[in-house]
Amino acid sequence: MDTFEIAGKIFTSRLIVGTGKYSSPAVMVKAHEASGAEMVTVAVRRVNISDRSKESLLDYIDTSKYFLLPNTAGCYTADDAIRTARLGREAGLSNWVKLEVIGDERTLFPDNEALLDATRVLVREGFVVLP
Amino acid sequence: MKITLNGDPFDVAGPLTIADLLKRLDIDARRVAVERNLVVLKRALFETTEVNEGDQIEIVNFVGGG
Repeated sequence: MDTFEIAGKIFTSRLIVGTGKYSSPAVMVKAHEASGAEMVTVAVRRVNISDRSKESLLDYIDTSKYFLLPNTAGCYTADDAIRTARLGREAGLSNWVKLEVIGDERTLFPDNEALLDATRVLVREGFVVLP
Repeated sequence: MKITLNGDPFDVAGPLTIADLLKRLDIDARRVAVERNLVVLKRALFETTEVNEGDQIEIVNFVGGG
């Protein structure tokens, strides 16, 4: 069987699937199952204080089946991404992070220098940093 | 007391801890991470960390994305 290893963790699927833009949580769950992926990415975002639904994304993801990979979507500076990564670790009890620092708002092309800066800091703090 | 909560001004009656604040907002503490004045707060410290006037508090969780 082909396996995929990152930082000592072994996956049997090389597919990493997102959790955004599905028409419903039920569709997301079915898509994850159909994909065979074992790792799903989630975004770290501010809780909407004024209009909170009691449902959380984590209600729909079986974390005994799927490994959560937080990402720093929406961050424009290394500092933002570093803080978001730390928050993601605290919220999800995982020290993995998919790092994103936006360089161009229109194209979402990354700011590579900021990515490297943030990577150096986060690796020193024990994170497993993915691009 | 006046604090900044997720980027917006917010009035809250004190004294209270971070855990109290989450309860008042009806937020499950196990599902979120909290940052106070740009420092991530360990969950174990929610019950003992006081909210002070002027604090900048960020409460985040996981949402769909990729």
